[in-house]
Amino acid sequence: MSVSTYVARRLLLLFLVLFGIATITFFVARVIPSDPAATYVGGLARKDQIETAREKLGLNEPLPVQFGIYLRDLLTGDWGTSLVSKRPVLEDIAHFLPVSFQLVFLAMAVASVVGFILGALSAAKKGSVIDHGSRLAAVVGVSLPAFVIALLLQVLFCHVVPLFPIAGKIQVAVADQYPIRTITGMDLLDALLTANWSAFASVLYYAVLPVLAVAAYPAGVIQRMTRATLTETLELEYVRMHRAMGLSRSSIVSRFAMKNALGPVITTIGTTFAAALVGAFLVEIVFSYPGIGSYLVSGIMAMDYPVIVGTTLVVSAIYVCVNLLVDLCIAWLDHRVILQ
Amino acid sequence: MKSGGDAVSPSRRIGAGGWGSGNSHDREELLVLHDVRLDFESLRGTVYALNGVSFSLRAREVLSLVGESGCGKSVTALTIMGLLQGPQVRIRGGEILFQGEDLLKKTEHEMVQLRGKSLAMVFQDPQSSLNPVFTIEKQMVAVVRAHTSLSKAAARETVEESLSVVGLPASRSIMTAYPHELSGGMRQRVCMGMALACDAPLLIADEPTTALDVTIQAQMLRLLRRLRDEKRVSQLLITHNMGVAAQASDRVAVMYAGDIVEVGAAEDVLVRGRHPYTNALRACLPTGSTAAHLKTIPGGVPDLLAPPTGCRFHPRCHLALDECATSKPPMLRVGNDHSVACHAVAAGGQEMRRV
Ligand SMILES: Nc1ncnc2c1ncn2[C@@H]1O[C@H](COP(=O)(O)OP(=O)(O)OP(=O)(O)O)[C@@H](O)[C@H]1O
Ligand SMILES: [Mg+2]
Repeated sequence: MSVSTYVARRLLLLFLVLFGIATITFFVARVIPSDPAATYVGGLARKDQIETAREKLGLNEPLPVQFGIYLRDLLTGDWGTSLVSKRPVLEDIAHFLPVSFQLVFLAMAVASVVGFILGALSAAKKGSVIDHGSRLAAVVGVSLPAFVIALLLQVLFCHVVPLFPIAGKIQVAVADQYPIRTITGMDLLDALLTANWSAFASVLYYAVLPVLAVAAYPAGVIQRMTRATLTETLELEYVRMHRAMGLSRSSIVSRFAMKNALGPVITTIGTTFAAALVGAFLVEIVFSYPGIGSYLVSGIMAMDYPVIVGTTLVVSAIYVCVNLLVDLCIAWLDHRVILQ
Repeated sequence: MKSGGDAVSPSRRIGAGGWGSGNSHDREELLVLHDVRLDFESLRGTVYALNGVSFSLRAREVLSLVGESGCGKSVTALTIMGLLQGPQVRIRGGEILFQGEDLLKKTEHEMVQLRGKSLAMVFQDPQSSLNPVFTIEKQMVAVVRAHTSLSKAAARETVEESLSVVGLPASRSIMTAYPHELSGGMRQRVCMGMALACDAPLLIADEPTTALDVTIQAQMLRLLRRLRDEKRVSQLLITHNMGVAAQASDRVAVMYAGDIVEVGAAEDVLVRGRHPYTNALRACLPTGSTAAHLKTIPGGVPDLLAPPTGCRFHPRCHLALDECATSKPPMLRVGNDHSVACHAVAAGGQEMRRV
């Protein structure tokens, strides 16, 4: 199968997955005992106000009709209006998602590099002090939930040793003086593209602790996977062949075995990406970081179901796309893999 | 093995590896194993894998190491290469002299310099002994560059040359191929080419023909002979096939359960073999065209976790004497280049008279 047909098939699958999620979330939202119209008009509304809202939101139609309208709207890009912010959900998502993306991308980059290096060191120096230290770090990263790490970091580096800011994504004074022109919505990238160095530095500074908190779990998982796969690889017959030909262990690891071990590691990066995204939701709340996580959680609190549905759809789509990218990467790395 | 001061037979009892020295027609000894002992500490107990292995290989000579599966042929080869490492490997004694220097005393760093440059080895299974995610070129160039100061381009030329030496002349397309794109025979040749790319004087080939079909096998044997004659590569050829040993080698060493039981000129060992095990192996060779002629040696290969005492072959041996169960027979010289480790032969027993 050619790469393009493969991608097309996977995208079709993505579409089916999204349809399924849309259906489930729609019906779940209808089963939950809460009145969207009441949420829409607020707590102190009169009966007739709620009734008008009910009419306006199409809640008086029969369920199948509502579902049809809902699907049509989804496809035409009308994802409804947030019951709380009163803004179109898609607009809100477009605003908040890049902030989370930036956080998760940075965290995954840090986690991949740190996890891979620690794992490779562990495997190359198995049983040494370095190995033990690196494994201990990995266990801590894997077993503590991201928000606990976030709280710990906050206590340590905001209160005990006040090195980093406790909340927000940029210093207010900097944001006022050097406003970031929105291009991609990712502040760091936008600041970079517009050569807005003061804002860039500030955003980076504010991102340090949240990024570390999000990165801890994937870094731990990647360390373990790298160590395990590399160890296994180093026992294989062809590594023994490399040794028989007079290559040193370090050059075998750096020039050959690392690439052999990369496949499972990339898969791991892909699967932990989803975990990192979920972890980021809670970390965002700890650090009052205005991303999609904060948005989703406030949506859940308020039973704001257009927000819940929209965010879920987007996050699922991201998840499926990341997995597709992972599979393509692996096929590109190892020519024996057949895409199917 | 102890060198004998207590000789009991008319033949001179010799220290292993000692038979060549002093003989003027003999070429220099390239590789001498002397009483190499190696155990594996496995979960099930100690595996006594090499029980004092001794033999020697002279320059420009092909020595076949034959024996049943599991007798320690591959372990012997890997020990020479210094490739058996890890907590479960215990080298309990002996020496492996290569060009006069003891390989067992060398550091890993020194062994890295020797491997591929002076000692080359191709593994038993060509299927799994090439790295699947790198092209042949990338794997071979790395070897050449590890041992020379050649540029990438020059190393590539060297690689092309050595591929054509092993009979892969369309080397361009082979170099850019991944291992799974090549046939088993081609992979075997690539391994051979890689091993020989730096002109190592000694090639250890572990079952180079076993994985191949009969026609490719014949080609491989011709290639090995050409390497000896034209490239002057000494070879330690590991095989469990007496036919291959007969065709390919100058000398033969017969191994049984971690012991060398007989060693000497190919003809002496394969045709006029003295050790009961050698003869049993020969009797197992298919002689006629029908399978009815196939025989097997009674009894099974011993469990190396609890090997028999004395001569490890004695439980299966029809000539066994009392002392066979208690003392390990020393290597006994029975011909110009022919030694046997057998109490029955030493006692001038039946076997000797029969031959
Ligand atoms: N790492 C290890 N741990 C424990 N035992 C081992 C190990 N490697 C080899 N052995 C044992 O050592 C013995 C000799 O094995 P070896 O691979 O040398 O046999 P072989 O003569 O090459 O047989 P074959 O013809 O099947 O390749 C076997 O009994 C095997 O089980
Ligand atoms: Mg073997």
